[in-house]
Amino acid sequence: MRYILLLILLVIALGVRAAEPACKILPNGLRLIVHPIGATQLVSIELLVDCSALDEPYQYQGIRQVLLRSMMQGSTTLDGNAIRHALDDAGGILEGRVRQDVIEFSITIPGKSLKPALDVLNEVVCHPQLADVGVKDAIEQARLAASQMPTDSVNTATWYSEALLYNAHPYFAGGLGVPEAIGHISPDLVRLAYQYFIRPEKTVIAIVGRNLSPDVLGNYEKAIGRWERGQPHNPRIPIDPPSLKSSQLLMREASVQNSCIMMTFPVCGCTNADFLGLRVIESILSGGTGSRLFRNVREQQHLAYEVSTRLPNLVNDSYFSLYALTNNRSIDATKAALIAELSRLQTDTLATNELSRAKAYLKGRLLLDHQSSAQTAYNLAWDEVIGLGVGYDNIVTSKIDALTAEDIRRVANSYFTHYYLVVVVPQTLESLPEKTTGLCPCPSRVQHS
Amino acid sequence: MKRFTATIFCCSNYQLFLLPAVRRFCWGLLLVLLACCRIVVAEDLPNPFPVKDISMSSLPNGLRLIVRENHALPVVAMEVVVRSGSAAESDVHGVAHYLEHLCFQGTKHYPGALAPQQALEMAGGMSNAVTSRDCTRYQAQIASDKLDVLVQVLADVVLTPTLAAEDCRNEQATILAEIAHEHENPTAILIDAAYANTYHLFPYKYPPKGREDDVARITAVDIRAFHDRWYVPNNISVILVGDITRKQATDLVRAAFGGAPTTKLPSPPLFTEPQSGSDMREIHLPQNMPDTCQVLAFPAPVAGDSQSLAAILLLKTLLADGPDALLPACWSGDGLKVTRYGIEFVASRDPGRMLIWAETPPEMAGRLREVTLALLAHLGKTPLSTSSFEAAKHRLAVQFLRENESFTQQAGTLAFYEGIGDGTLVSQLMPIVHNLTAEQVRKVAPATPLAWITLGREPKGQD
Repeated sequence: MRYILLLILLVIALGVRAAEPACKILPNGLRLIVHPIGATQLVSIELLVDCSALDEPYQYQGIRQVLLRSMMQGSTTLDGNAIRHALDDAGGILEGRVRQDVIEFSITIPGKSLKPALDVLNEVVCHPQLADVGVKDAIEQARLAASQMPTDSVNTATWYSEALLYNAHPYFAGGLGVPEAIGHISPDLVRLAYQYFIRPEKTVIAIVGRNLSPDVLGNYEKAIGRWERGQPHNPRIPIDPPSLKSSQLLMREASVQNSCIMMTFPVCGCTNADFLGLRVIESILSGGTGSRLFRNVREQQHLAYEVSTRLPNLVNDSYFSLYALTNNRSIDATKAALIAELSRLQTDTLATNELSRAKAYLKGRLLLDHQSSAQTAYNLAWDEVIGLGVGYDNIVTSKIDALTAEDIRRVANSYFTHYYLVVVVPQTLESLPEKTTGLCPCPSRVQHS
Repeated sequence: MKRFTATIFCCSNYQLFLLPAVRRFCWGLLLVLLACCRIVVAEDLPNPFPVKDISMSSLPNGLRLIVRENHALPVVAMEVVVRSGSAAESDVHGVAHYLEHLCFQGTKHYPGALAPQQALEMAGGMSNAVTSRDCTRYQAQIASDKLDVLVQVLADVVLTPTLAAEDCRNEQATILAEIAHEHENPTAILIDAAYANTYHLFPYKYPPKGREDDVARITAVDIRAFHDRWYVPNNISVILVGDITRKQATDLVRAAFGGAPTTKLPSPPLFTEPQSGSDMREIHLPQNMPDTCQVLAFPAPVAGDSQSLAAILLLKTLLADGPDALLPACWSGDGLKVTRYGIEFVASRDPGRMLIWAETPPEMAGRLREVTLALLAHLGKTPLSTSSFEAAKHRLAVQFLRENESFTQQAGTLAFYEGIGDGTLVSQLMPIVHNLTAEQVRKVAPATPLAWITLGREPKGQD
């Protein structure tokens, strides 16, 4: 008896720490991940549909955005207002996003509201109304969203960089689509797209939080299990990765003092083995105050207040951007400083402690991410969608540890020796002129020092 | 479980309970049931800061220590709060923020620029700092097996920064660029303008980072003087949240901060702020933008008045959050096109401001002001419906829970309230909200704005 009691107490004690996430594949192909964690009083539900911008017919780029917005307009039994109120009563908001590789629905609610939140999500995803009125409204909203420019200089520079890099590639404009193409979309087409795109076998749901009721989860599993598997359809048509024919400089002018300068290189997708090396490079360059850009460009040369990098998690073809907010007089010097840092990565051997610092910083960020149920749920669902699996979180640390200085140099030489983009956008509240000062050639290769 | 409990409670033979094995089992079962009850109660509680989980103590030198234990994740978040910010500056504005930057440029045990932060990063930690009008906060998070590094580094940053003249000169460009970067954000410009134009004498009128010309004339001597005056243990609080015991926290903090001597704090300067009159200041800041951004600035209560603070937080929720939010409903009912809006209310030690900001086409800016003021006047006189009032309470409690999910967020909230008075106030905040009456909320609804400030295109069609 004593041992049974000890065993019970041990189970409770262990339960306070996070249990391992479990992924179950339902008969209809839907993958359901459940991960109880004790560090939060919330529950986050993340639903990702493996539906990429690459799945969109070229002439209807943006149809995923219209579809998502149409689904949020209401189900066969609940209209949009009823959905919003039901979730508001439960203490949550349903958020929908179209990313380049997935369509995403997410809800974060207090633990006791898990059932109503799952019920609403089930309605939206499995029984959307997709009536003409709602879809037309969604088309208009999507068209506006696709034609809106960001309002700050860093995001504006990112927008131009993506536009120049991806050009006709479907990842253009964050996968939101093209306003003209969205204008050609009809309600019938959206209903057809629902049948093709939103299917259980392409869906991953991650539920992460505290005190996940087995009864609620069991009932939900039954409900979502009734969602019928879709018909097989044609595989994705391979699309050539974006490539630059030469290096380019895009510069917008305004009578202000400061600008954002952004340099962008095309790199591999996040499932490629090199991507973790690129993440470590990102940490070397911009991970904290010990990073090279912060120390050398900001603190020693005083060229910029903000220096950072961007490396989006994109499945097929991603990009690596370095950017700085700088005085207009220092644009050339800043560009030279950024290039010098890349060149050093390609030629010099990394010091052991610099590599250790970068790895520690990266691993620390991954650990701190676990504080948020929403971030944990997203990471689990994403790893499953892209084929890394729910266990990836446990092995990524050892994969980072295994990277050597030579690996980093090889990765730097693989991706930072080709053509690249430079975009300069002024930091201004004023509306930018419609036209740029011109698309000019700039040195075609990273200059090695 | 049901069958187990039934067996125990249906047992008629009391002597069975006297058997040692059965007795041990029953006590064990009771413990298990209590543990389950605790979890269920916590689940029902929307308060992320239960009183029993927060401990507050002081070191002999006056330093305050607040600990919130939670061993569910091997992470600890720490904040060191110096309870003086830009409002404590005397004649040179921007010194508090300048000092915050310089504290990371080398310390006694971590000499060299950025060495303290790099020591944290080597251990997988992250750090940051923020200067507000009322306080300066140094923040870091790390894996709990690196706790000693965390506490040592932040103690050094606050107590023994080098503050070299050369570092001071070097940092100036970075600070000026940071201020210039903020000027990119129309809402930030409006908020600064609202504070600048609604205080006459009180130092809240100055932006916490200072203005460019102020920053350009700050010297290392000014910074050292500010540090000597305010960075003393009896003006400092340490917050630790996460995988740390109270004993561990006390031992580490005593070792790192206990040696600093208590120093008499100067009396805060007294400013007699004139009572606001009935006249609203109207200011336009021209800018070549497609729309007009505007802010209506109202007086707001101090954090020490916890009931009024809770009431104004609830009023903010009623006005701007959720599908039934009053402001957007009122604006759209009047046919006004509002592209962005929000309410800025930052609780403060001295009387603060509630700012309602919105962006509209210029021809709608004047009308939006009128409609907003009419709504507030109506709110101040008319009873609120019970259902929308209770829904707002629920929404605020859930939002508070969501904003305090992580250890980092919890440490931030405790530090914020500690910086303006008392961190333990956070435990009472949601219970106070729960007990608020509609009458109490109506009382804090502001009627007369202190200023109406517009930015961008000049408003058209106003009276």
